[in-house]
Amino acid sequence: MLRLLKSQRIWRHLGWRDLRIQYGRSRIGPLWSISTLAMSVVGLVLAQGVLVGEINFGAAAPRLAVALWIWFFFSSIITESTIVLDAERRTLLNSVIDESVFIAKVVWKHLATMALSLPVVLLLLLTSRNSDPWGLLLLVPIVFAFSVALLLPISLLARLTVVWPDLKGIVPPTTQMLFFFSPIIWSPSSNLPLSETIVNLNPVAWLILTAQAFTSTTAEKYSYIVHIVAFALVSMAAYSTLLKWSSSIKTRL
Amino acid sequence: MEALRVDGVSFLRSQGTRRSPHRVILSDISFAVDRGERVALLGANGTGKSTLLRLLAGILQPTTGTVSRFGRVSSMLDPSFAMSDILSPLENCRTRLILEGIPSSNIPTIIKEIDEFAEIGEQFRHPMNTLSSGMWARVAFALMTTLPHEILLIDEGFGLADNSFRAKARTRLLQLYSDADALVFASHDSLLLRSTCTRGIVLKDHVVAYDGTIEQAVEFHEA
Repeated sequence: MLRLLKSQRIWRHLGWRDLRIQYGRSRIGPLWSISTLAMSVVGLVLAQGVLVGEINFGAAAPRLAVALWIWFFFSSIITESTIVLDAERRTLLNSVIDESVFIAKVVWKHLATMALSLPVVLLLLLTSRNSDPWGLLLLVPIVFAFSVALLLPISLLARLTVVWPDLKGIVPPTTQMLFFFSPIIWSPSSNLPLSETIVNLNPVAWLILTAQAFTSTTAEKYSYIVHIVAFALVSMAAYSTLLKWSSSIKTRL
Repeated sequence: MEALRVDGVSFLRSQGTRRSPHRVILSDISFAVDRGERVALLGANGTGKSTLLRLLAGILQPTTGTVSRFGRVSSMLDPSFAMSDILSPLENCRTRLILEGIPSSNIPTIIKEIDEFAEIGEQFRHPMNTLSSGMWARVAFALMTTLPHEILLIDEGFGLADNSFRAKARTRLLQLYSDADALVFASHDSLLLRSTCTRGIVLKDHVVAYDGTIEQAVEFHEA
């Protein structure tokens, strides 16, 4: 982990550079990520309204915005982890920096994208009386802990994809399937079968429910913070062990 | 005084198949490079020259054996790695300098030097995809040769762009070769190696097949 901190200048730069490349040719640039979130929230509110027969934007939008905001962060990180080492092959084979820098870069880049979408979430929270926009501030350390916890799964996925390239095709649809197992379009209080078990086994659900609790004036707070902190600590220890003992993936590239 | 030492180095590349999980790239390689030496690496394609340079640079770790470096090693293996054609030469140079671990305070000075040497004017601030291939080569060359070098590792020569730039680039290269404390140069160009190096190491069948003067090494390689 110390190694990652020492190389923070490199992964921070590479993350920004990736965003510059991604949005370099686009006129509205990073506003794309904002519009994606906004359109998804509006689309889902409308879809839910059609199914239930009543559209209550003020009640549904803030909850959906927070859930989708976290979901986009998670799913884009997982999807990118399957291509990052292949995409950076030339850099890995021509410089002394190791793959952990690129793993950290992926997390940093998507944290930055998440921050860019913050105005949409904030705006939608302000539309509801039952929302607490200030809760977003308290959420910062929780999202940070969750990001640290993701380093291990991302690193494992990235390395496994180099060994089994078929994962590039398997992981994105599997991640999309996880969308339906996360409390985005349903809530644990809706008494769906197995919903409690699903939530207890799904780290993304922990973050979504914690974020929804923090940004709501009615929900009970702190419910999954312990889960997330424990996940981060275990993941950090396992990731440090992986970095210390595993051989470099460069011999496979 | 030694600049580089290679002791019993072997390198296996993982292939991930059950039949042959590993492929031998280098086997039991040992040699030392003294300060002031100019060493040519010769060998047919696939004999492990580039891999050996990457091991010397510390980019790859040997499967067995050790590589010791006694000075700052710089490698010129791929002139345009980590460069994006959507970004400008200026931004790409900044990325490469950060990857090289150059302190932020030194970066503006080095970039100014690169800009002046490449002589591509305003194009230095425009996306790389608006540059001609000659301009690309100028930027890559200027970037690679502006950095400070102690122990220099080069894989193949440089495409020295257009005629007007060639003389200037050649002068800088000769300066670079003579300034470096030690040079290891892998190439198929025996004329270039003869004019640059004093010693030759020939790789064949994953091992050092010959180690001696550049003249004899080239003869051995071409025999």
